[in-house]
Amino acid sequence: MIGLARRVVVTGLGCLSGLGFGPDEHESALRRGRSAARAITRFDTSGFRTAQGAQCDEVRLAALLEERWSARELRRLDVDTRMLLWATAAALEDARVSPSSATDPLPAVLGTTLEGFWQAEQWYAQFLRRTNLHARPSRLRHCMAGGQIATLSELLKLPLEPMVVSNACATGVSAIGRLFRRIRSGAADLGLAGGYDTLTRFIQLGFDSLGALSPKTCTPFDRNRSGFFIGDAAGMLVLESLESARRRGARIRAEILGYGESLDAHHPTHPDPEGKGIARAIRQALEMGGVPAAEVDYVNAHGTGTPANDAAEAKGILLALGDEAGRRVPVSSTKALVGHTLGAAGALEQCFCVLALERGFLPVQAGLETPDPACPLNFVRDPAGRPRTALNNSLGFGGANGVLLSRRWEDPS
Amino acid sequence: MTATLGPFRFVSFEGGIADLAAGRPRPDALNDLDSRLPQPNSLRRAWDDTKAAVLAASELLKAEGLAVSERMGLYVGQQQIALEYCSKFIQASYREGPRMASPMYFAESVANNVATHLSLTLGLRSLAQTFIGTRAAGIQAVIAAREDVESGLVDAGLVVVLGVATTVTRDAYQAVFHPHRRRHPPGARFLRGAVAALVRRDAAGQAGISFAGVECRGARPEAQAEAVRSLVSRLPDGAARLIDSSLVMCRERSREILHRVRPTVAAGADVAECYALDPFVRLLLDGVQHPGASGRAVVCLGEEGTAGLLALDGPARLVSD
Repeated sequence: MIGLARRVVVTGLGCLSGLGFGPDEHESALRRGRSAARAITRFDTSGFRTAQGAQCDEVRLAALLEERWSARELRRLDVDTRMLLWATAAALEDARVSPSSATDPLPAVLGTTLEGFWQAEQWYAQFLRRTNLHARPSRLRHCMAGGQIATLSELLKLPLEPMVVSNACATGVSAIGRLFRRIRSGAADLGLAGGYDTLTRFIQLGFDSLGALSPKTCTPFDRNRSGFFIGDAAGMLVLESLESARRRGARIRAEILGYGESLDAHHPTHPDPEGKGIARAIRQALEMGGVPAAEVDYVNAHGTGTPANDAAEAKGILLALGDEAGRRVPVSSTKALVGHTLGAAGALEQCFCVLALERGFLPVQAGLETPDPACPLNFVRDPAGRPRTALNNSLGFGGANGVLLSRRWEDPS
Repeated sequence: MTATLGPFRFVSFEGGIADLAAGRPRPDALNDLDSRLPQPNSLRRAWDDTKAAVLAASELLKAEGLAVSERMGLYVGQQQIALEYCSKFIQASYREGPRMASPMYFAESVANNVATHLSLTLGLRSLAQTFIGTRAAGIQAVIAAREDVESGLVDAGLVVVLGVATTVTRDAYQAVFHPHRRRHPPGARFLRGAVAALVRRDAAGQAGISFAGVECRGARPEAQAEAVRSLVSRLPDGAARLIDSSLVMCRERSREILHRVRPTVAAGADVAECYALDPFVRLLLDGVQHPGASGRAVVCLGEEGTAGLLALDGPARLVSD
């Protein structure tokens, strides 16, 4: 039987991206506005229009994983699974949840748009070039999220109650939103949620073909913005009810107050130019959290740096928060730093919101030189600030919008 | 309050449930697919499997006389992402050069493209979630819809589950399950289609969802058996019939696992492979073959280690042609 709404808190974070591993390395880059964009080395970019991305440090990732698992256990894991494994283990450790003590399956809502597509793509490229006789089926072991979940469960010795959400670029917030609602309603006490995705040849070419990738650098909300770059990332969070966190004596990093979700029903790949869909999702999140628009202290925008997205999102923010609060609230898009990390984006950006609330700073808007008059918002130039309430926006293909509302944890005791 | 699941609208490229139950597939069943779609022009670039999903959903809503509202959520389950367009895009990029691949293929390859087309065609504006990556993706969609209906977030959950099969999946699965028979792989039959169903509170005449769950405890057979055992232990007493839904290409492994836990029945034993759609096809076939009021459950074993269980307190009601 599902009871009344409960308070939901974040007690564990695990994040990795082209910027580094864990909260500390990310905080430093978020304060300074350091971009992870580099020339892509993972695959041949000859003939591509754009060839920059934000790959994670795979050598360091391997070394970190080898501190805990044997080379044999890790041998066949592709980069997607490795990132997911590291972020999940880090989040559980951060929350002091001991996997081996769990007997009941732990709810795990994972978000991904590509699953283990890097490996599937490798197999398919072999298949196309050399015929099936030479394609190695072992490459397919982790190409489906189910296989990756089985690996997580096995290596972490953790029974899971998995759910794999794929809502385009709103995937990460959708995954967290689903677990948030489940805990809030009383259907679960504690669980894992987040997202992961990898820079692959297919995804680089795909966004390249749409003209969404920037040949220069990602400058969200700038008058001369020209798109984004793609990045690797995994962001995992441990969410639990306040009662569960108190019972366990867990360190609470932040509270999630609300979640809103909507569909534009406008176009397969373009957002509603009036921003009505994202505005509805913002309003829902605020209403669920009981927070007036004027009390929002920071917005982590989806901010892809494409002309259509940024203008629509800016309109949506103004529509939902009102002209005064909308123009005042500090806004930044951290995609200028980590790139667009697709299914991981909303989750990684939620980790950034939690860090900003907990550690008292504002992630700066990198790359912004001349703000677009069509985006009349207050962009973060200086990290100094102590936000109490933050919104995390995500907009995806198909007009999928998701918004999380979080608050700094202030222990009444 | 009980969340109910049904009625179901099933469409496939081999006919309806009655055709499958009779063992007489109708390959011409969806020859008129385009003319039956509510907005065929807006779906002209969509894959046939996506069109089948839109058809199932629109015909279900029409049959139930339900209008789309802000209080209806959309929950899509499909095991694979839209690989047909992925493969076309990748092929074009290798054969004709990186700049020659059509962006249309890429846009249609996004995993939530079915939800996108459903939203655009039906005018759904509330929430849509797509579940992927496992044979139990459709059961995950039911679980999510049930949670949202029970919590009062939505009044109705429109669940749409697809059976997607492409040349890529065929080749990939054969490479994995028959690695030594690459020159002469065994023939694999696939059933392509979709089912749409409604999750609501206490809908009259519909079966109640008595249990729905998905678990994973690792990839090995003993771990999967443990997951099945854990799920089955939570089955209500009324679920007398346990129906088997497992991948055709590794059915022996699944049978061995199920044998350790509890006997199952094989509704529609010769139904072709349809991945996430399979548990629903089996439930519907069982409803036709055993229309009594007793409860039943379908246990679904993913080839990668996940296990899913969906139990109803009665037969699944079907909206027929």
